[in-house]
Amino acid sequence: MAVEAVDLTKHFGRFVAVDGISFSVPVGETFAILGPNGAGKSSTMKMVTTVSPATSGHLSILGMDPRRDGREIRALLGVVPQEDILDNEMSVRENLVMYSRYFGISWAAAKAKADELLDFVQLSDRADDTVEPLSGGMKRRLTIARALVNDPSLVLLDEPTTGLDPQARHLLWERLYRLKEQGVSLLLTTHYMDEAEQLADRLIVMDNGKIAAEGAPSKLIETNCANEVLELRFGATKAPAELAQAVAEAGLRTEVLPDRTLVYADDGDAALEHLRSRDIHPTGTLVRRATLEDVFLALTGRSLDE
Amino acid sequence: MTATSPKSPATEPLDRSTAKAAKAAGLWPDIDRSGLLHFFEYQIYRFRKGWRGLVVTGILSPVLFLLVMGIGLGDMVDRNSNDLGGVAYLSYIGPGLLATSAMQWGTAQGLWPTVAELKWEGGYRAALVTPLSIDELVVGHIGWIALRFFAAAVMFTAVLTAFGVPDSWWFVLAPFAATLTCTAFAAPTIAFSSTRSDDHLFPLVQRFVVIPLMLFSGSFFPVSNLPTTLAWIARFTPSWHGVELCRDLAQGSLSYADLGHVGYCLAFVVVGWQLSRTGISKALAS
Repeated sequence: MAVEAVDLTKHFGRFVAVDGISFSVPVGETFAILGPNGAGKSSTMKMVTTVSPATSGHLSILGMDPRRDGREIRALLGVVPQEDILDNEMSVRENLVMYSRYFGISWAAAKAKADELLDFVQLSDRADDTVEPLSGGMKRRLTIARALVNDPSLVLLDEPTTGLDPQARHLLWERLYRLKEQGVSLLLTTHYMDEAEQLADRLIVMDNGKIAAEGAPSKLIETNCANEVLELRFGATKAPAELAQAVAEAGLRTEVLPDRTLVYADDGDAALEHLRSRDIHPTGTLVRRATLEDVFLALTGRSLDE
Repeated sequence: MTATSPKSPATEPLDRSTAKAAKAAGLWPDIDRSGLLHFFEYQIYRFRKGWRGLVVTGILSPVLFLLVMGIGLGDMVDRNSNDLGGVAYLSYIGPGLLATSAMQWGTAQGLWPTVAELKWEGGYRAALVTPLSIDELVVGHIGWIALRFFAAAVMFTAVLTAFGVPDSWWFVLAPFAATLTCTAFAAPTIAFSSTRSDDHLFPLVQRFVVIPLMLFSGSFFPVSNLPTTLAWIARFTPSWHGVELCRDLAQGSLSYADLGHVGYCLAFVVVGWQLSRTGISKALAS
């Protein structure tokens, strides 16, 4: 197992950030922790990096105990923190080389590795530039390269694509795929549903420090909501009273949001036909595939950005 | 030491396992020589462009102070006072200036750079997810301040010697005494800064701690000239002990009291170090 957590808790004074969670990440798997801000994702990550001791419970990382073998564990970890903490007083290449030295990697090996990684994250042409003028996406890629200087067995990514534009996100996802293909275990937190769906073999949904659901992304969608979602908009007016009845007739579940109503159905078009036959005519409709966002909504009654 | 594969703790020899347990329990600092060396190596590499600041502290500021205070003011003092036990004013304040600049530098370095590494730039957050241990980071942070000040103190001591300040060969130990004073301020200041998320209290520290200490630690006049209460407060500050120590080295008038000065400053270093460890661990874990 790359990571094994049993009944893990983390308290900050009276505040319970992580409340008895259990999960395991087999070697080679990409595992995501999904949840809104404040769900306990980052606190969980900090315990896995060995920087923050667990309040109680069992945690084992690469078969070792973080309280005792922190140094040995960290030697095998690659950590991509939430903010890009790069050294602005050094060049792009120097950031990698000097960081390698913390791992006891020789100068020659560090320099060779830096060039290889700069190529991997497509920053070779910026190698001698200072860090400051790099774009957000470039800084993120450099942070990821830095996390790989020690050929880690387990890479931890805390919100890897937050704040990046779509193009930068896709490039990053593609690089993470390649790491996965090389057999590296990945543990990532995200509050982006599409990111979890794209990358994760399995995931847990966290809410208020607890695990709300666990499984493969497609399985979670299958068990927690229907295949498709029919989104209905009624313009300035509220959804008509008959809607609830019509939906109940068809045995469908709905979620009423401030601006729209979601109807979960295995066949969205058929559901829309049914509503129209009951004389319900929304001003706007959209049939789409159900996502983890819908799972989260179904599990907690809240949307992720709340 | 770099582990290359996950291994079972059970296969470790017993003595190593016991040492690890003691370190894990916080009974013994978890420091590897190589970890500390890598920390300093990183800082030195980064410092290549920053050495000019040390020259200002080590050469420019003592030259200016000695010209203004030692020679300008000193000439007047020497004609009117017997308070200094027959020592020329220049020789009196020279070692005091060294000790107070140690105090100022140690405090300033403990303030802003600490918050920068922990919060603003977060360099230590990145460093802590490598094999480096928290103890290496804390000792490295304090040690790096001491190491740079030592370089400035060597220059400072040379300037004082060039102005004819010391009367004794013991003065070659002055850089060590000043670095001890610097560290006695840096370590507790780091502990304080590690609990801060911004610098809005730092100018107050400068105004209400550093400047009064600079004026009242006996560098410019004997603390016995102060009202009794203030004189006793002054004697509890590590800066006074640092000033006395440096002055005794300059005049070759060493006594058991100087062991007391060293011990007093060392106590500030050790307590400050332990508090810094707690503060920095907390800051990095949250």
